[in-house]
Amino acid sequence: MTHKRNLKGIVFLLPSLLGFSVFYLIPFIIAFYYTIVAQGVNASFVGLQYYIELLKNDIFINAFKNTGIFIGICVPISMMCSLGIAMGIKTLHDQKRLLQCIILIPMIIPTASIAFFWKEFFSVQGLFNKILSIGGIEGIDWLNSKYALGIMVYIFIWKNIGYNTILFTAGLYNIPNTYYESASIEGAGSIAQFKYITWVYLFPTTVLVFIMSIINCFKVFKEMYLIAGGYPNESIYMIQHYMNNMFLSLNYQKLSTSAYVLVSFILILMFILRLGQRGIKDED
Amino acid sequence: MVNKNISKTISGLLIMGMITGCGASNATNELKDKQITISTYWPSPYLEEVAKQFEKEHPDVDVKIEAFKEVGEPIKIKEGMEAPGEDKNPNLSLEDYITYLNTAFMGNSAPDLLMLGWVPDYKYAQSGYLVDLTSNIESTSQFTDEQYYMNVLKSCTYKDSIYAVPVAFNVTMLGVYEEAIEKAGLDETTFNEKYWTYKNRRELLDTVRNKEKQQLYLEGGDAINLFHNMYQLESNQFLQVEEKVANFDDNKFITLLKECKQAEENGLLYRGGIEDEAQNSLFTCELGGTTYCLYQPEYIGHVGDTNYAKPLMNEAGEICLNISEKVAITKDAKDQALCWEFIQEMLSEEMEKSPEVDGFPVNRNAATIKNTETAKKINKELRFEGLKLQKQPQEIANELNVKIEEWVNMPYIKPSASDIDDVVYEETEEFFKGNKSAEEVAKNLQAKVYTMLNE
Repeated sequence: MTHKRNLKGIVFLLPSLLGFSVFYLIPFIIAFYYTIVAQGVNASFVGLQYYIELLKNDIFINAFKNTGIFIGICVPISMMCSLGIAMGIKTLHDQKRLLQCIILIPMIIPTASIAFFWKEFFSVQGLFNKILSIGGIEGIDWLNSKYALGIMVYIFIWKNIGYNTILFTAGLYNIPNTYYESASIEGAGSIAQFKYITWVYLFPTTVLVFIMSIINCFKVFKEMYLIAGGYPNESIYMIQHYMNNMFLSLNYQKLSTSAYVLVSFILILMFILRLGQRGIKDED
Repeated sequence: MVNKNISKTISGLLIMGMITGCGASNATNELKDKQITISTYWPSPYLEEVAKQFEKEHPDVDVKIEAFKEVGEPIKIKEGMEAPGEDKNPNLSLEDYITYLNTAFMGNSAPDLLMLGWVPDYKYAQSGYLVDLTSNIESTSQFTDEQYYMNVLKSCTYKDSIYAVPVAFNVTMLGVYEEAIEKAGLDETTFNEKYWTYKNRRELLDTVRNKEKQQLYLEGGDAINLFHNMYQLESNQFLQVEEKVANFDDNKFITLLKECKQAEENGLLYRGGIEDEAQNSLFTCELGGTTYCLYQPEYIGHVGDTNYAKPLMNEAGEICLNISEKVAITKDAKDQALCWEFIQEMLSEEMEKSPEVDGFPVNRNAATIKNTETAKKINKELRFEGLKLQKQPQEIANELNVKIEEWVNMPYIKPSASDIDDVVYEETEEFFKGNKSAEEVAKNLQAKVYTMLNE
């Protein structure tokens, strides 16, 4: 009976698995070939040469570092803000749904429109500089300055806060109110309630939001590319820029190698996360 | 029962159709054993002529030309003069073509031959996707100095390997308006001696302005235009692609930007469309139009002793030798030997003397024939307007042949990377619009170009 049920499940999953294999898994495995053979007319075996060259390339290192910094800033801020908003919405008595809809609006605006708007807003002749000029502050090309990273962080948070808020809201509603009532009766304050009830029971949702935020950090490349082009200011030159440029330069060796390095990094991160999750489960 | 019979009949028909279809395509393939595919961004009547001739000489070969864009029929302006036809795919851009080519290379299905000239060919050369043609050229007996401009033929190099062969070339010329010369009280010897660098053009302009006390202009256009021309001349100072070196944060680049802007602010450049101003200009600079001086009635003169046109030159004595069309064999070519034979056909005298070849052919005999025909054609056009050339067309053509010989042996500026040039022009526009300072632009450019070169 279990075997039959398993078979049914596999049959239903098959189309999706097939698509995933054909368009993602198999090409990814084939890409490994490009990381170990030389490019050009005579493709000879080169071993790990491309990996070593890549890890010595200061442009790649800078891109990797920038991606790490971007994720390191965006994910915690985005999670804290969205959790705060979700908790705030939960305490409201009315207009909850309206607020949730308003928060989701940035997500439904097409990427090209977002890129166009913010590019114009922060350009030298843009609205932001005009506002600053009222206060007597001289405007600059914000997207080509040291503040470019801050602007991209702001755009990321603005765009993705709604999605994380919805996830957190769902997680918060899954925590029975009786726990909070009991805690209140026992004399626990709001901080203690958050620490021992909300945080603990929200942990699975937090892990999900964490993973989705990291994924969304990589997806923000679309907006970045449309706003700042293939060669933006060095503070927002990300790993995706590097990979995109390698594709356009026909350097499939470096492209595939950087993909493998990135996947390895993500796998290590997921492994650490999994260990952390297990650790907290064991404590429970 | 009836339903079963119907389904059997349909299945049988389908199977028959498949077999017939296979048979039909097999029959078509049997007519031509070999095929050469050539990819080009714009359609090329010249390529079509070569393909026709090659197929005639090689009946077992099918030459397929894949033009990415489609254009309508040429528009006739007047007798003997046509404008290019309408672009039928305005939504398709050069970026789309590059993406198409990159995907083809990645899938090992790139065309056998590739017409370069619009794409960043140094990237394909750098990635090893273009076959090194050095040994092909050296082993082909017809490629000698007597028959070809070998300096030009071997000019498309990346790290000492020849990745493409030019079909035609031209030289960036600097023209001088006759009326302006007369007003300036200058004589022909002034032009006989000098090649015009920016420095001695400015000196001449300042001298004449002070002497004649009249409004004279350096050339037409605006600061951006002047910068583009100057950058073409001086790009080697700021960018060495093969060595992966960028020097945009150098004072020389900042000075160049400021000089171009100052030239416009000081009224040295005239805006187009104002007839009086054009006639008060000493020079006009046209990129890539070598024989344009023969086309312009204002000159009436010709390239030769009267020297109303000379190659533009930088301070290092280098001229701008522009390759208008070049062809390469890709690594995915199924039959490289056959592709090389096709290239030889392209560069033969018979094909290169075609009026469809834009610029001077690399084949010497073809160039000589074309120069004579062009001079005769211009003479005929001028007669319609009541003007005439100062010398006989054949004499002009002979002088031009001598001049070309001189130019191809002069040092020339190696073409820079077109994608880097685009970044330079885009970034510097912010300076000319007044949005950024020259120092800021230089700093941004240096960071961007360094990244592009060293990724």
